[in-house]
Amino acid sequence: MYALALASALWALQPAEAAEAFQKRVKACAEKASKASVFIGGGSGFIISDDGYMLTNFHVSSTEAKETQVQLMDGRRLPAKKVAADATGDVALLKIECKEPLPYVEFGDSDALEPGQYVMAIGNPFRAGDAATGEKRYPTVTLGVVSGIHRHQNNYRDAIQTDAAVNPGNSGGMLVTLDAKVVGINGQIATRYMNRVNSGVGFAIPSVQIQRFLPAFKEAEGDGRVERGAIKGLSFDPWNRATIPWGTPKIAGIEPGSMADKAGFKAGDLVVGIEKYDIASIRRYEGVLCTYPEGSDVKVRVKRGEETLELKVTLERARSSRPVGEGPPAGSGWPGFTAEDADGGVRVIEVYPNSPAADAGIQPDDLVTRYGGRSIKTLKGRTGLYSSMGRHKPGDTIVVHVKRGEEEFDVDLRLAEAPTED
Amino acid sequence: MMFPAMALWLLQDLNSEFESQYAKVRESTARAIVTIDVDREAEEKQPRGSGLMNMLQGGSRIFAKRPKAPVTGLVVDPEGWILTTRYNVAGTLKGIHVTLSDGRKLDAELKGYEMLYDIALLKVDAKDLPTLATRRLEDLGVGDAVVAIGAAPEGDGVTLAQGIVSALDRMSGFGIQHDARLNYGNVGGPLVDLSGRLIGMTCKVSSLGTGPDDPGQNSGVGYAVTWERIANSLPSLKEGSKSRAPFLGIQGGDGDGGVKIQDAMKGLAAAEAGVQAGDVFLEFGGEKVTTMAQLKTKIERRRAGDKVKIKLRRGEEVLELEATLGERPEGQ
Repeated sequence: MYALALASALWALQPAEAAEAFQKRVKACAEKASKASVFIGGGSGFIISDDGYMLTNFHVSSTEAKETQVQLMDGRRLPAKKVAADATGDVALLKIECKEPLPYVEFGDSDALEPGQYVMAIGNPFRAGDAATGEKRYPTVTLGVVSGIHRHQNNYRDAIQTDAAVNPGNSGGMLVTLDAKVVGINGQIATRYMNRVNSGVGFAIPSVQIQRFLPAFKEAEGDGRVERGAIKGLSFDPWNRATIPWGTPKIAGIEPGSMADKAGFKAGDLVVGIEKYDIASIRRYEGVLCTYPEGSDVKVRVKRGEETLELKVTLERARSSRPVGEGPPAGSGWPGFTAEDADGGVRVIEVYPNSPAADAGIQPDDLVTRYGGRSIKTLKGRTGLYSSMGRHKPGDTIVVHVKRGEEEFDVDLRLAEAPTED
Repeated sequence: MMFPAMALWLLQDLNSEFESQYAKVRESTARAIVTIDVDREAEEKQPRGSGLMNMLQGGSRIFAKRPKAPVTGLVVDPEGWILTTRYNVAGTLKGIHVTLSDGRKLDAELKGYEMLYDIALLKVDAKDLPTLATRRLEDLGVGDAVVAIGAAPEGDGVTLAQGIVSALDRMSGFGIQHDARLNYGNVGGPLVDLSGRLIGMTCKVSSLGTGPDDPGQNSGVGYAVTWERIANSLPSLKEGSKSRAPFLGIQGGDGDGGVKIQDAMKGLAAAEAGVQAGDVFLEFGGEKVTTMAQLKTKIERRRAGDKVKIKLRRGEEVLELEATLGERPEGQ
């Protein structure tokens, strides 16, 4: 009897009604989550608690002053202070000052996501929400599915991949499941030929990573930095890393006296798990670790011969690999490209995604001949790029002269803060 | 034993509920879609957007180039009036050829256009053409499902791109934003809801993604000018009105409690009205302005030729001037 009733109920639901029910769910999610969306600088952010804590990408907040202003959907402009950031992980925490409680979104669980699941992105692509006819400012809401999880993409090493349309300006904005719970921060898109519009491949920083960093963020004050963790003293077979990116990571060597040594790792160990995560490749190993801040205690499972052991290790700070003395002075404004000596200037090798150089359209192989008003002949030395870089601070806007093939032109670069590398 | 089996069978049927809804949309909208073949002189100019932007984006210029292919139009009046985007029919034209949904091929005349909302109106010699029912816009909300319909160049049927309403209050209040993918080819067709009712015409695709006015092909940031705005413009478009955007002729930025003017371009509306560099705009047409973006929106809600009262502050004084809006010059 029950089955008959159920069958009748299912039969009664017409296609139009089913579509209507789905739309209602999407609309309700958009309405609830949009209230917590903020406009900040050239990007987006969102509020995570009613006392005003908000999140965005580091590459969005790094071009803003320590005390800046954000705008809510209802039109209110409120002051916000930078609290802390994971520069490499591209997450920044700010605090909005407001006497009344603010609308906010709760966290979902990014580890529970499955490819095919609906997600919604909310932000301000192409500054589409800047020109409003009244006080209310509409952020942009787009819908798509989770395309992939635990993606390793540049400095986003445990990213959610989605086909929800995200474009320049969506950075820092929320990615939510249809229950209006945050599962990620949108921050990167995969594009070709510098054509910086969405191609159906967007990457978001997962909520589990953000939630692990939050306590450390809140303890740091006044624009502090919290770095991702690493297990120091372990080295992997370069073959593991380069040629065959899949396959369980095998420890090639242990540095005596290091954290790894003290924790009990041995050469020849296969790293099979960290906490609840199974590790099937070096990329996954890196991906899991980047979701933990320095100082975190993690349990690592290794296979040694027939045995599986659980080793406890405290993560240390992932440190910069650039040798001291090379490069521009610490604290200088960061343009976001690497270069090498060339005839008549310096030639761009790499342009970091979402950096000031990327925004300005600088490309690999460009020849830089002037930087911030000075002629550039080399990388180092008195007339070098590093010397010129040292004369400008994060937030400064400088003019850079570029030669590309037959063309020559000037670009404006708004310098940002340098992320640390590991 | 039989009942659970039946229930499972019905559940499978429900999985295609959306698909059958889209089939209904396709069937009900195809009749109002036309294919437009534009015969034009070869375009020398770069896609819209400053030369510097194009240089910086190097190889992606390829993506912005207009392909040689038919575009989409929408019948808006049974007496032979067809709407498409201004960009679809821009350039030096040698002829416009329209294929109706019933297969008839007719020559079309470009009657009028509005550059700011990217609307162009064509006339063909035909009567009793099918049009689409309109959707009530008051209850349209962010998250509502939408479908962008395009003409299939092969001549059989239409193309569909699905998405949701991304935002209201775009295009100075005369349009909405959605994420159905728009490209050369389907832009200029209707944006409809899941019942096939007209919300507006998809527009503003002509370039690389230079900003809010032109997000670029296939970006997922798409616009549609509402059917209400189209209906308001139809009378003057039918009369042959060809309007460029209204233009005040100022350069300025947010500041000093209003919009601080850096330059009032010589010979243009603001300068002619007496606006000077250093003035701070306080009100435009009786409405307070606090940002440049806001002022720009208020200007764009007007038409070239409108007389507008401006309130501004010059040093200690507060002045009231009247400007007659001009037309946006070429290249602006």
